[in-house]
Amino acid sequence: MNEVFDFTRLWKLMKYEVVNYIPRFFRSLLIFASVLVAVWIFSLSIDIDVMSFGRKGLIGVLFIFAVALSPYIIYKDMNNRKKGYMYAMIPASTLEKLISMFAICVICVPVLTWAVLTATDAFLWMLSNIGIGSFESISLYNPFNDSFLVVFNRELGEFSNVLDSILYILSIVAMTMMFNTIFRKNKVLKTILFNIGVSFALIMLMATFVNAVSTEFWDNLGEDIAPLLENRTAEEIISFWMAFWRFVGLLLISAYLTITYFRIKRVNY
Amino acid sequence: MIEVKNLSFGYSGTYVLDNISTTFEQGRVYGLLGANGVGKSTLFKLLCGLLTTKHGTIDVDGYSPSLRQPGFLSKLFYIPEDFEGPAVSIKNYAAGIAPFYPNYDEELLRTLFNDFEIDINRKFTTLSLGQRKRAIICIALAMNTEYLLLDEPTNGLDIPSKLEFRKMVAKAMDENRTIIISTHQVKDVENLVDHIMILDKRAVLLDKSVADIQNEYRFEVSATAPEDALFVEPGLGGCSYIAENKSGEESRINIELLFNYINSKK
Repeated sequence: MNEVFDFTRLWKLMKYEVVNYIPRFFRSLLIFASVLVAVWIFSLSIDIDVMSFGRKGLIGVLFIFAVALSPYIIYKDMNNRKKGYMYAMIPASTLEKLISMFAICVICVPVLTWAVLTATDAFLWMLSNIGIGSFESISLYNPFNDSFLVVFNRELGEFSNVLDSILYILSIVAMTMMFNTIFRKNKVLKTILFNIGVSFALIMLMATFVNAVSTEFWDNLGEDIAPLLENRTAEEIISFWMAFWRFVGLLLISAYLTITYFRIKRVNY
Repeated sequence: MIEVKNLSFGYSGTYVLDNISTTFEQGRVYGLLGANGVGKSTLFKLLCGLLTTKHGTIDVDGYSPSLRQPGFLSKLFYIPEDFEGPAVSIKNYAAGIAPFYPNYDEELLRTLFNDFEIDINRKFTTLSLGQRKRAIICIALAMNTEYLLLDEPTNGLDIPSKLEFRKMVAKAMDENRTIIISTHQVKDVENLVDHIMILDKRAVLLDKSVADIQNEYRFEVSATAPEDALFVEPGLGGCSYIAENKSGEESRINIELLFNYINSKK
């Protein structure tokens, strides 16, 4: 028996997790879809047209929230001292558990979320068409073209949009998967506080650094960089900058997944 | 076979298990007894790999439990004392985990569900503790794993279910299987176990087969205890006592009496 990876076993695990864990996500999806319904009811009461563009934005935000929260909802008990043992005792390797968790959160959850949110929107648009409510034109949200990163990156073409969106979703899921395995209670709150704390610490560090070095340093740095930027178009500079951040994104995803792997492997119950 | 060598484990600096060595052989039903807090559940979790050993080793047919390898996990099924169960139906849960266990017996599962009168369409979360326990015991037995670890299995079971449990375990037992039962309800497992292990804080007080105990001790009930009685427990209209077995005749073990005797010696 291959104790590290076996495709058949991974498939069994994914089937098990889809049947046993995904239903936990349905209730959350209903809550997300009910936000759209609430907007529709609001549009009924104040009699204004709710444009497709606005709803796309709302669906985008709901989509990102649903995907980011999915590990906390689907795998919330995986490190629970009382209930988590059932997950740990499933006869599959740590690598298979990690792959299955990642695949469910980056494939099943986005597809399911997209389907439920767009179907809700389409249904409400149909109701508006027969005179109930004011949802203007159908809003088919595309997570790969309508995510936040694309706003900054419209000029670089569709292909890079898709890649950046995928990277963005992967990094969010990998991060929340990691925090889901690290924290045992109040996971979402602790994740938010941790990220705020890290961001604050980084800003303070940067501010201290900027204040500590002399203006001469910045002048020299500017002179050093200037030749590198000569004969470069703005698009090339943006491309380089985007490539750098993509590389950082990939590094972060790898780090998050590595930590998650060891947490799954070593968590005590 | 499970081999435990010089096992020590503690929580936040205090040792619960200290330098314990023992073996759990195939084809036997072990009764693991001990007062609250002596580390029975901890020992179970260590055997399953849910906790990592601090000192010493555990070997389960060549596997180290703490690595949680699939080959090891498919050999063993563990039911904790406070089993809560997933938020899915019994049928879906059983169907989901069955493919991971190579010796799973679907026919046996159906029979057990039937014998225990379990509604397989109900979710675990809608059942009482006793009903949940009954359902998971059926599933555990049908998975046909080599090692079955049951922590207080009869806790929460009603009287008919306890009888059914004893019947099922006796029926499920074969020479390739090891069942370890941790319990305070010694009467529930009295005729079931063939090896008794009594744990105390940081020590194993007794680790003997039922046959050895019967060879060594005599368990009697009479109006008065003889002078050579090792331990006497007064009861209504007489007393129960343990004495050395000089005649070589086997008597039926009174596990509760044995437990109290062993504990009184420490």
